[in-house]
Amino acid sequence: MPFQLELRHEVLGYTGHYARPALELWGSGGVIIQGMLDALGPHGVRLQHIQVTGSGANASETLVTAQVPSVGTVKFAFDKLEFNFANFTQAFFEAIPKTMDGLVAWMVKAVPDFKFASHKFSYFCHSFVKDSTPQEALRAVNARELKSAGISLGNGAIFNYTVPSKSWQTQLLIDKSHHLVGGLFISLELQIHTGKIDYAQVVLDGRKYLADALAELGLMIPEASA
Amino acid sequence: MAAQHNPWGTVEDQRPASRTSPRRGERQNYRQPTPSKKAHSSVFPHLQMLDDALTELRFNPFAAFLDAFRDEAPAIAGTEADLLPTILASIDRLISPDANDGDLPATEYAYQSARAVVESAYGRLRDSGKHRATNLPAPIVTTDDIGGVKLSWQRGDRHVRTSFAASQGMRSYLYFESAAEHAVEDLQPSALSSRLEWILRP
Repeated sequence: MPFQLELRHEVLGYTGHYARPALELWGSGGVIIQGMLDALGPHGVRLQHIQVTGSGANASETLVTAQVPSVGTVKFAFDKLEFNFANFTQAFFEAIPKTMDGLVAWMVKAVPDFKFASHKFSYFCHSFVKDSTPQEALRAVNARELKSAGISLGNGAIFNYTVPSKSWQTQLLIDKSHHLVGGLFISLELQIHTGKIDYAQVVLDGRKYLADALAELGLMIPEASA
Repeated sequence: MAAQHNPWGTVEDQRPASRTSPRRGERQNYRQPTPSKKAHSSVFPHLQMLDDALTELRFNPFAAFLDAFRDEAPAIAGTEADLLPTILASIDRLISPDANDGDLPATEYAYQSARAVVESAYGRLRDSGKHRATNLPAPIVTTDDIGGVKLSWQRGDRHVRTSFAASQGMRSYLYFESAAEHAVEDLQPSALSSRLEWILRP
């Protein structure tokens, strides 16, 4: 029987690096803010949720930050786009690809030849293990023991893989949670070294990739989650 | 937090790497990111003070790009002043008890089970937010006559006792008792957490 996870906290992050800085947008605060409002409006983002910061130590630190109510932030910089969402609903999760499409669409219009160089998605969660403990779940993941080190409280594992057909490089990490007492920490980092991606497909594939990898380790993540 | 240092140094620095003070760029940090502000207040309510202290950093728009504040944020677990660390220390002592007390040492199996289940049960109790784990009475922690681990909590006429088997194949169980009811249950973190909530009820 696989160990079932009871999610208590989950975060999805993304950073997309542009192929070249979008300097055509320098000084076009209105265009940037309008683009972000159009993409994030359906999630309740209004003008008062947008913060412009331009006094950074260097040009790459000029940012436009949108606070998405109750969920997290989306950040535009001249060399990258980033979001971090926490404890989102299933409906919000399912809308992320459309939101990403919206965030990219206005840049494609405003910047000639705009394209990304790479993308990085990172997902992590802290959860309890149903009817068991993290130590039991970790025993199935990493059974190595260090006799000289004392008595094991559960050993984590890090798996680094590449998926050449998708230009993916992944890192799956499983360990005792440092933040949720008696919990399990799982993180998946997915780097895509190609510019053009289908966000909906990547989110779908990434979710299946995580579920399949965890299943091989005897762990079952709730179906309704990322 | 674990950090993997680059033992070969950087391209421009071919000297053997120092064992101390690697530069930030040479580190490969394994860190478990600190839950967000929202998560602090809803999932970890006991962290409100820490949360407040970090608010300014959280709203620093550079922070997420630089990822700096996450590296510096203190771990959440263990910051609450509850009894869990003391209980875990009591369980630790069972591995090599004072010979004068005449107690048997706990077996490694019982020790590992007790530590894992108690930690997870207290984590669940904390996470539920219904009761503060700080209100729980301290349990009595002992071994049985074959190296199993026993913990018992009492509040008023309510008792909760756990017995962690000395070895695999033997049964671990949870027993609870009050004036009105008593029963034996399987010893799982969720069951212990529920019974500790029960003992706290008015």
